[in-house]
Amino acid sequence: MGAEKYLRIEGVGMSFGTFNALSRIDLAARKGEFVSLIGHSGCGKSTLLNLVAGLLKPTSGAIILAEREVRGPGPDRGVVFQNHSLLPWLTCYGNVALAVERVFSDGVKERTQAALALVGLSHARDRFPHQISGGMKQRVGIARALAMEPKVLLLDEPFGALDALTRATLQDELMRIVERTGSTVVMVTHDVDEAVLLSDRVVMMTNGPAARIGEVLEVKLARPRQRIALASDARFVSLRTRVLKFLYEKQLVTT
Amino acid sequence: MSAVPVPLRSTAAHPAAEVLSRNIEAKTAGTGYRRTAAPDWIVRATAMLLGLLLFGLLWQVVAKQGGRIPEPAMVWQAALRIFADPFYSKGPNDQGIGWNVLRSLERVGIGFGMAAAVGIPLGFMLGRWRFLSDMAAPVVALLRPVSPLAWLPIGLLLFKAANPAAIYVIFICSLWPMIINTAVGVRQVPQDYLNVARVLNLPEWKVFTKILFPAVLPYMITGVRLSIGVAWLVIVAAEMLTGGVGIGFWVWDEWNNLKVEHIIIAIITIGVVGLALEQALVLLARRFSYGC
Repeated sequence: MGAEKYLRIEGVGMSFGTFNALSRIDLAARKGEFVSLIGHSGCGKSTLLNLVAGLLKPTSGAIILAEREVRGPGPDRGVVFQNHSLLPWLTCYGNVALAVERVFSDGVKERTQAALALVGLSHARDRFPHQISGGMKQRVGIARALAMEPKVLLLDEPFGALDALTRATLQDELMRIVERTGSTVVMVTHDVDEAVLLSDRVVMMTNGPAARIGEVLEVKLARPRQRIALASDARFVSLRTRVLKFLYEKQLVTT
Repeated sequence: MSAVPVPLRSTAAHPAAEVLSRNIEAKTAGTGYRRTAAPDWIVRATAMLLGLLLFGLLWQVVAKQGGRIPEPAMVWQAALRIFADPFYSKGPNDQGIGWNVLRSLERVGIGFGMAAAVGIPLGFMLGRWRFLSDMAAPVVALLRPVSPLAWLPIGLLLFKAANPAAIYVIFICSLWPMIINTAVGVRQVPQDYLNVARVLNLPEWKVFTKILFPAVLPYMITGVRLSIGVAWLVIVAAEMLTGGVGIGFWVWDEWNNLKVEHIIIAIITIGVVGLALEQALVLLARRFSYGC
């Protein structure tokens, strides 16, 4: 059954009042695929992610995950927000456990600890969000999402608020984690390098209003990928150039 | 609801005090003030002592001018006598200052407790449902600026006794800050946290215990702090009017006996108790302010 089309976005349109944000988006993701949505700000890529998360209801069309229509938010989709969204009154452990408890009735402690170990934060389990760095917070966010063993991991500009060095470290770490867990991922980003480096497919969106999918780029680079080796790799550079051309030649925003 | 109290997240007890202490910090950090060799806390303690001393001196000077104001030394002697046996009881109208303070605190406690029991859930409801909030807005706006003492006759009418009427006044004046602060707190819960609740699809009771309640707690404590502050102000006036045992009544009684030194002792006692209440709640607030 639907391993080829594990996640299906079928004819999805989204309007906010009279504002038409998305018009007829069709997209499918394989099980275990890493898909990035890239576009200029305001193009509706986060809206699309929120639709998959179930935080918004599409005006038209449907989203089907593992043969079931998405009708609202649920723990089968793990969401990582840009601004980490950890609860400040809970420790790292508490934040992850809150998600684990929602899905699993037994082995909460073991699962929570395993999730923290996965993102390399076992030592920080009893610390509160304000006691750890921005990068660590984002890792806890990822641990929280992954601990639920979701069918799909939804990342909304997960590293957008981090400095460049931390971002690179976390990107490498995310690649390692995704490879190990075989997760299906949809990531919203505006970082071209990040999109090409991490993804199996980069979905480029046109500018809103009524944003559509402009182009889809297959990234057939072998994994595991090494950022330094790829930086001078001709295929990587040409893929990167294609995304840049789309964004800055075809979809140039006049602001 | 125009007044939007800010939840307490700093160590300063009062918004004005906060500004003041921030200024002091800014100045000592800058070049405006000469740096002293002594540690900061010694300098501050010296300044505080000096302030108290100056206050005492001013008092002494005013007392020397004649009139009925007793000198500090006289008040001190009277205080030693009073606090030698604060818990004596010679009938309903002659009890030690300790009993008077405790009875006042008891009234504040009961009135405030009932106000919290009503005001906090009501605040949650007003914060959660826009329609309810709009419904309550004109009534709250109209009644909030009314002096709590204006409610006293209504209380006497309803309860036909002085003690419940005083408690009722405390209830009324404690109610508004708690309703308003809780409602503001609920409305200020960051959308991010509510989104977490939504993507995790948390059950309603868990949304309340894990997200809403902790997020609103600092605002609620601010409401409690304001309520207790107002209640302690009001109980003195209410007791002056209702009588019975209580620090407010005691002040009035001593005025009738023309024992001015006792009135001054009562003023200082009221101040100390009020300060202690305030500080206790500041400590509580600090315990629940998450550094986020």
